[in-house]
Amino acid sequence: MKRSLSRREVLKLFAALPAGVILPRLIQSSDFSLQSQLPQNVIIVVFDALSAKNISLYGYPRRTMPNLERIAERGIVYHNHYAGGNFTTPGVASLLTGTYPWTHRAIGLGTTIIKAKAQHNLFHAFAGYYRLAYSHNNFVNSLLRQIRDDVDYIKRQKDLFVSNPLAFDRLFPLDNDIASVAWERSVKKGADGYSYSLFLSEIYEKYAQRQMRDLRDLFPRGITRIGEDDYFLLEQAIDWVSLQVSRATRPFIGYFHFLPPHRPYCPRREYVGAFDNDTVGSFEKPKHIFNQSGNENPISLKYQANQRKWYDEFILYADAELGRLYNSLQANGVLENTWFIFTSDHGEMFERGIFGHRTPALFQPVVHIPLVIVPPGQRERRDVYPSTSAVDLLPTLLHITGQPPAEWTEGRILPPFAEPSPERSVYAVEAKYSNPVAPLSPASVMLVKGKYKLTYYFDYEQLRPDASLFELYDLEGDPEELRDLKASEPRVFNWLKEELLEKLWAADLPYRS
Amino acid sequence: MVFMDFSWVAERTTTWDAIGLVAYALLIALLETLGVFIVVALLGLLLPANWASEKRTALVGVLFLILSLWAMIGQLYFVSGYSLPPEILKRLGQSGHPVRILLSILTPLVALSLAMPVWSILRSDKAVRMSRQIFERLTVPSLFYLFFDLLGILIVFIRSMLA
Repeated sequence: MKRSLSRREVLKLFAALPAGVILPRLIQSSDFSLQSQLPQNVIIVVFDALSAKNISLYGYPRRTMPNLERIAERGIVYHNHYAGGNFTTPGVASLLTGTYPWTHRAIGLGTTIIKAKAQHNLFHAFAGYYRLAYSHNNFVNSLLRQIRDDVDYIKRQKDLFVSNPLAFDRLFPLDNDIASVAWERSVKKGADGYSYSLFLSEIYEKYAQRQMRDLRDLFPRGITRIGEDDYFLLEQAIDWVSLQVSRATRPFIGYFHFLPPHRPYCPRREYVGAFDNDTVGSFEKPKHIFNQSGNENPISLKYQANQRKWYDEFILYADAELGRLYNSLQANGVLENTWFIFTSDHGEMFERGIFGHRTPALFQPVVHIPLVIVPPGQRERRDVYPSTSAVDLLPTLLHITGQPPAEWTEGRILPPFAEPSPERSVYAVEAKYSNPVAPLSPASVMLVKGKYKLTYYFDYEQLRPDASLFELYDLEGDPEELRDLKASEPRVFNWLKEELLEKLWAADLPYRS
Repeated sequence: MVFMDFSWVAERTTTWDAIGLVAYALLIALLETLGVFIVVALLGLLLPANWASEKRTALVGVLFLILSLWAMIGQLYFVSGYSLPPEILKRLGQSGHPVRILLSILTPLVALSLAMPVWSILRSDKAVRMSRQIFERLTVPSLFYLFFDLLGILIVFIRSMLA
């Protein structure tokens, strides 16, 4: 039999009401710690040339990143995240400035942001933080050097390389950048086959080979390196990051850019052959106009599959080190008040006769990259499916840490920190042979809007006698980008084409005389 | 050769950095020269003590000069972008041992280029005098080289102070 509430019970109920309203909000906000009293730290980990296509978290049949899967269980996974460009310079510049390559104009190999925009960068926006950075990649270091006044500590690239006691540049720590370039050009015979010195290079080579002997057993495909013989160990860099962030002045923001899995694909011994016995293969896609294989020596499917397998093994190795870093940060309590961001600068291709990422093409493998954000204290995974861009990271980081917004950025605050916008436009630009202070030409530009992707290639030699090429794909119905829809969906094509051309025109306007 | 990289560096950083590159390269070159000089001087100790100093100087000097010339030829081969004729390259590739063949051709050539002057110096006073004249003429460009080396050291010092 129902009993009516007593007066005492009613009063208790009314007393509990405010808590019932306020408490969930506190819990929700503490999930993202927006209301936290302590300013929160930020760690950004970038793996170079890591394509979302080759990551098990994004549905790749090989289990290439089990540690990232584990990390993602407490994070936000962005399933349709795009790089700003298809190689390091524009990709990283977009991430650091929150603008697309047609704005920051760091579009050539190893070039820097246009001077007027250089101060519009992540580190400048986090002026109240202790800002530190490290990169294996020379192109990234060019960018970091440009904005060094905004970074409190940039670890010297070579400090985390396998040391060579003969390195003369160590005698000049204050002017190490130029001293190290001069030393290398003097003693190392580069791709051009010569060095400045007549005799020193021979001595250097012999000595360096002896140093490397022990490491060669650990790395059967060669020791991880940049260029010919700048050897490094990912393990050493991971250890340094772990130590550095545990000691860093709080609050800090750290940007750590590791070269793997960028080629050469050199995993540690235990990862070589990890995928030898699986049945994941390749299927033939039509050769693209930008294919790198000649008609005399077409690249076989077998070669293509083998290269991809090596790349996947290298990812597996890098993933193990990512896991080790994450475990270490967790163990020493850094992650309790730190946002952990994992992403890449661009992807890598093994299809259509295109290998790597030095291409005008903007297919999904080179522009679709991972992004996982792990907020402090989050316990459950969330997934975000609307398209997002590397330019969104800067405004998002400012928002989630309570920093003033950056007015210059072309990015948006990422969901779930702001309302998602499924029909927003996301772009990527490739223009490495364009003049940065002139309208882009030749160039490739991409627009992703909803499920559609339009790519526009123009002024390339390979396109002659036509000046341009458009390609339209439905990424939901045709994720492998096999069916060009520009003829069958003229309305969509014209709509997107108009938007893309207008955007390009507006971006080039300051450079039209 | 460093001047080939000057514009590359200046484009990516500043002209002062490009000058710095040249300065460091000159300093490294100076250290290399000193190192070679020490080796050559030590080699001189191996020669019979009863030889006239002129003969010893000529012998060691000529050896050093010829070895340097060969090293320069090696550098110029790459700098100039010169390549052996395609037919020769094809034959070398087909042999299966291209390096051995090249070494077997170059080694006697280098040996001959060393042996002939050495033999001349050992046998002929005229050769000794000719060597001395060559070295005297090389003194002037050496002074220029030393001047630029010292300038390089000064620039390195200034850069370290300003950094």
